Amino acid sequence: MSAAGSASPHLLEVHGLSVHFALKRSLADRMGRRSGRVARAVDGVDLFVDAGELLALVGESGSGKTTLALAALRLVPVTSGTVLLGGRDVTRESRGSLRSLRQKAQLVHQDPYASLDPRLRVRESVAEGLRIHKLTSSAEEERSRVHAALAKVGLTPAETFAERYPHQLSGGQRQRVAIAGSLVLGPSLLVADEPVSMLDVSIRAGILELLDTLRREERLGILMITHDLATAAHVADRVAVMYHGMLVELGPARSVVDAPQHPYTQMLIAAVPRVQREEARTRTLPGEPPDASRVPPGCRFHPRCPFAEERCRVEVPALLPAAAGSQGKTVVACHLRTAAPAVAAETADGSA
Amino acid sequence: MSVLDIRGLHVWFDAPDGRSAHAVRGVDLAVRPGERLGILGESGCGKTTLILAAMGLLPSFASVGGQVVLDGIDVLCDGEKSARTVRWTHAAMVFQGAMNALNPVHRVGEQIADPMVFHKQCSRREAKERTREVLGLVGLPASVARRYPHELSGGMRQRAMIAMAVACEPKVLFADEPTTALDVIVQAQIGDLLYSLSERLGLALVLVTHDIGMIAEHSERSVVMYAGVIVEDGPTYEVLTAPRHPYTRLLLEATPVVNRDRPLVSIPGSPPRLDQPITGCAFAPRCPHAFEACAVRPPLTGDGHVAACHALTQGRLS
Repeated sequence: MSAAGSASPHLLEVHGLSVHFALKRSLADRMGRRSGRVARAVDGVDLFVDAGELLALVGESGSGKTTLALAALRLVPVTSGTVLLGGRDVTRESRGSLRSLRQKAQLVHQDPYASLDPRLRVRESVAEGLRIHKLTSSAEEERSRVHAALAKVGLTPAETFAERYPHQLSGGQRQRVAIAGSLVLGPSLLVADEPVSMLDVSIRAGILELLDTLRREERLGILMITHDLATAAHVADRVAVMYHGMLVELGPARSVVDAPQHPYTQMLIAAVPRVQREEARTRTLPGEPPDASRVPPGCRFHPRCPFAEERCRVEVPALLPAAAGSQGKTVVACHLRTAAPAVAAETADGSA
Repeated sequence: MSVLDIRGLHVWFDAPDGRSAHAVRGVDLAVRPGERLGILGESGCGKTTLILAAMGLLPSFASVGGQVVLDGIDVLCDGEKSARTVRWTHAAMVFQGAMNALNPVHRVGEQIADPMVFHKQCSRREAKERTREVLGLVGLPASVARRYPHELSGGMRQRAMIAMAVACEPKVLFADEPTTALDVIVQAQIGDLLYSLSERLGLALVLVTHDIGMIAEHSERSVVMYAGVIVEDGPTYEVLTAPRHPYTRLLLEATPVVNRDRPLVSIPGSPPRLDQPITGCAFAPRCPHAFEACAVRPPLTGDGHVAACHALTQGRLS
């Protein structure tokens, strides 16, 4: 066990995090007296987010990106591993102290049409967290904090917006209200789960800009979950690509997008449609998204990988600095892309 | 000769309180056989209403004006009767939520066979044979016919829907946001499938989406809609690389693109309310180039690549 709280430089640190869900035993399992299968949604992920940094977590549905983010907030039970938020281990906190931690780490949901209570005025929705955490002593103080949060997300004049109901707002304004509801608690980490995918293109940029401002001016650390590499490339400092419960690539946004190392990342980028037509339809995108309850041996991507070799079918690749093309800033989990396995000392495990 | 000819189409949705929303405000659109057309626009711009009207699928509280001729049949003149003739055999539609479009309690194969039995008067046995054939066409194994929808992934369900749509050999395939609920890679696969089917079967494809990338790769002609009217219409490559209408320009700047470093912009304001009369150009209140002339509704002008903008015709746009 590492000494918790020892001057950790990162806002959020995730070490060897696994989340496994037990599936219901099927009839065949029971007849064969086998134990039920386990869905390995997240399997041994290491990750950190700094204050003032936006990390984009990219992957298909079923890749485990949402589960990873929820586990970081301990909204799903963690099977093994540690999550340090501001030096405190989230996975070992009691329920009581978890509440104060949740105030520091807030979640913004995908669908602002579903995340706001249609019967509450904006000011009531935003104030909900303040009331739950008993952060204000007077109605006056609550009002001023709600108005300040609304102003921060660009809903001005705050007095007017505070009195509105969700149905009187556009999708973008609703998402701003949801973000204000998080900000009002003064968090240091924001987990945004597909924050713009339900919104129209013309207003997405506004929400992304807002996240960028919060990151710069409030020094918020932001973990943004997205399936859209183009959006990630525009706003993220670093991009982490997940496949089948594991990180397969992690590096500065530009180098991940311009020089993708992992065959899966390359496939994701090939799937992004472009205006220039030449390369369209020459691509091949084999296979179906993975099933977390059926983990292939070796590299989890090998059944879909065009370059898979014998070794990929047996040996699980570690996340190591890429051999070429990204100036060593990107780490990648692929036997064919990493240097000789001797450089394993690079892994972040100081406690030998 | 067009396979789909829409003239002066208007659609109003009547609310119980007497108000009505003017969702499509005069659209003319002709689609040639085998043409792949993309209809681009934000939610609420009338793109879905337009294709529902073309299929005669509007709800009873909608009033429609204008004319829709689909494969030689006037869809709107005869109420439900002519619309029924058109559906599946002349035109078919693939809907947005592949997850929910199939009936969960029937096997996939039966559902694909149903419209064939209903419309073409072919026997169940023949329909079964044809079901195998169309499943192969969309890249699914024949065994899928015996499965229930919940046994299939989202991508496979959408493929099954497409198989059902092409089973009766329609001339036009409407696809309403066919990939929104799917993953990136599956999105690309479904897009590629629609394109190749249209090529192999000589099917006209009308692709409704807010996803510019989808239009870019899978259509040769693009139509941009705003507040119930067409504001731009031209070859896809031109519309996306040299857009004419200020709305199209801003929409492209708002779209994130991989491999290009430029700031994203958002379009100020929001689309107009359709339950209040719109005079002049509907985009004028949000347009950086608006001037006096915009108080009058601009016509579509140009040759081959048309746009409805006064600032454009008077040379005020750079």
